[in-house]
Amino acid sequence: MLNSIRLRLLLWYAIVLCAIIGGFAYLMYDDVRTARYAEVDAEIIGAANYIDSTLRQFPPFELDFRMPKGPKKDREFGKGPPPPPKWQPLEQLMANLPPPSWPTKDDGSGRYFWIQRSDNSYIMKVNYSADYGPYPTSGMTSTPAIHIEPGRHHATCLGPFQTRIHVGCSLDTIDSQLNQFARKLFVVGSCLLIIGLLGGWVISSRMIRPLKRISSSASRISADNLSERIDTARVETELLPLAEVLNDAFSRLQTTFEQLTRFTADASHELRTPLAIIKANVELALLRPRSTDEYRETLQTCLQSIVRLTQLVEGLLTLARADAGQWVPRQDTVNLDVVVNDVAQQLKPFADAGQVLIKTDVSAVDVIGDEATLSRVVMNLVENAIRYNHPGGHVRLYLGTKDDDAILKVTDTGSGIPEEDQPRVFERFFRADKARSRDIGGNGLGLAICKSIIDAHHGTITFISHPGDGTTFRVKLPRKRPSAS
Amino acid sequence: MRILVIEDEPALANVIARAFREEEYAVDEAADGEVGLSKATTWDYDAIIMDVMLPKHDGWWVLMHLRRTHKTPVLMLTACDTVYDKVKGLDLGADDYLVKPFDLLELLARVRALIRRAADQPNPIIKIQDIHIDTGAKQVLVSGRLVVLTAREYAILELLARNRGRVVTRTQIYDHIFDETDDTFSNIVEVHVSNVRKKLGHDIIVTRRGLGYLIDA
Repeated sequence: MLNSIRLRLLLWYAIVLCAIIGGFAYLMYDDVRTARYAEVDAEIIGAANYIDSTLRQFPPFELDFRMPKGPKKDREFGKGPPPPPKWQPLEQLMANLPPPSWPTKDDGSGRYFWIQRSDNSYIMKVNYSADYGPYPTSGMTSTPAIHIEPGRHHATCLGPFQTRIHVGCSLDTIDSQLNQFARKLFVVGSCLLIIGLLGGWVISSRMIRPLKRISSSASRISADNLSERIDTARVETELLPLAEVLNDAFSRLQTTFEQLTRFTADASHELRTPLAIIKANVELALLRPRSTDEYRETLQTCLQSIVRLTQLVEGLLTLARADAGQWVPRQDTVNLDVVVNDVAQQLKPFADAGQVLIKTDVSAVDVIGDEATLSRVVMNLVENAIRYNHPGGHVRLYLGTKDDDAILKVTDTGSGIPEEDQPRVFERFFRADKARSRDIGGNGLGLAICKSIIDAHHGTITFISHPGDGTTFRVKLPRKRPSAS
Repeated sequence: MRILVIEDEPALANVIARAFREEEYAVDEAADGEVGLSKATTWDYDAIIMDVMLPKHDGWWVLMHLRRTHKTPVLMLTACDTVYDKVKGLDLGADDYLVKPFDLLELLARVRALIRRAADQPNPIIKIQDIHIDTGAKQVLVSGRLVVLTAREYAILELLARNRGRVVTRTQIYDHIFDETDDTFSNIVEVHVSNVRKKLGHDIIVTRRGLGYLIDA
């Protein structure tokens, strides 16, 4: 399943989206929670401050039983604020004590407070619970301090005359509100996520479409229409290299296919023609009684065609075997100079007949290989050089070395190979000048076989030809290094 | 009958030409598409035997150009045996298609058939009054009796019989009976016509003065 680009894309997209939405929701929630708690803290601090200032309106002896009740004693101690002209009645003071909008008696609401005198007696307590605390007096200051307890926030401070003020608020309402908020965030977030994923899925299909287009274009191109190509003008930038590579492959396929078709047609023609000659000649001879001379002529013609067929079949078999990798040349030491000189000598009569001069410039060079086939290559090249030449021309054979290679060059002064034919010179059955080569013999396999042999010897064969100027074939073969003895 | 053989393989062209000459055809030869088309459009051949793979211009090219102006029956001879090639050849205007290596007797018979068709005489036996000309066996029977004619005499008779009702000029007869390798005098035609008349009767071949000969329809 993870092989699908779309699913992987969607998976990553989902992870990112989750992270973003989740992160955002969390930050929101945290922010809101912090704010709400801060509100609570502000409220209870405010309440504590209120209680503190309200307490200062109490007569000291109410706050601290050790305080004297009379005015004389007050002046003596010199503590506390100057006695007010008259104290408000205690009930009034007590009624003012709870901060505005705070509960004034136990009502089970989340807010509570109690005020203790220094001797631990209570001035007032609302919604007090013994579970709240304990809060050591030693840490208290006249500035309210917040204590954060599970489920509630608590503030403590020191009031006048060592009174201890405790104010607190339960977080239950807030927490349930926050829970609701969190749930809402979760639902909205999930919806956003799902919508996002759906959108992503739709978009990803649209993005995959160009790929589908290319693959359907490519699949349309088959043996019947190998000349078609993917229209790169309409391909998206990122897929352009892909389309170009595919088009390139199709071009190469087409060339190979065309070569193969051509080869089959040529082979068919070359094999069938001598057969047709033999058949027609024999049938004609058998139609009527013939003279001995006529029979002799017929047999001669047939023999020529048989020889031609045989050469062709041998050539094709050689190529087929080399193609299949079945032919590995021998690994003898071959004195290439001897081979070249031999060939020059053998072909001298042929050259003389065409009034072509053979010149040799041969140094002693050894290679590893198969003497018979290498000799055949040289023979073929020199024969061609003589054939595709003109009377009075010459053929130059050069054999030398260059670094680790033996270099053989066969140059002729013929009319050269036309430029448009040059890429196909080593193709099977290819002949540059069809009319001429039929006159002078040859079946078009010579150079293909040469290349096959040289390739099997791990060498290379190339040529340079300028029309009107002649041709030079260059064969490079790995040398046999003289062994240190 | 005069035919043209367009084949670049000399040994093959040679044996085909020999075979047809032995059947009393006049045979011209061409070794490439250019010369082939030139000859085919210069002379009015009774049939053309043509290879597909030719130097200079291939058989398809020659066929296409020939068909613009001539209705000469064409038999394609080739090594390509795919259905595609056969269809292409026939659709381009060839009248028949033989794959190499072919049967010589079959080639001879198919060319005969082509010539018959072209002359609009599908019946191999041409009847003129009580003369039966068997174009297959190349025999002439008068009232059932075999009359022996020389090759040339027969050829002239068959030519006139195929063009029955039409005047055939002396030049045309000459062109159809002799090939380019012949250089006999043209009045040989009159000699042969007169011999045919002697053997088959004077009324058979009518002379149109200044125009030529014809066999009445």
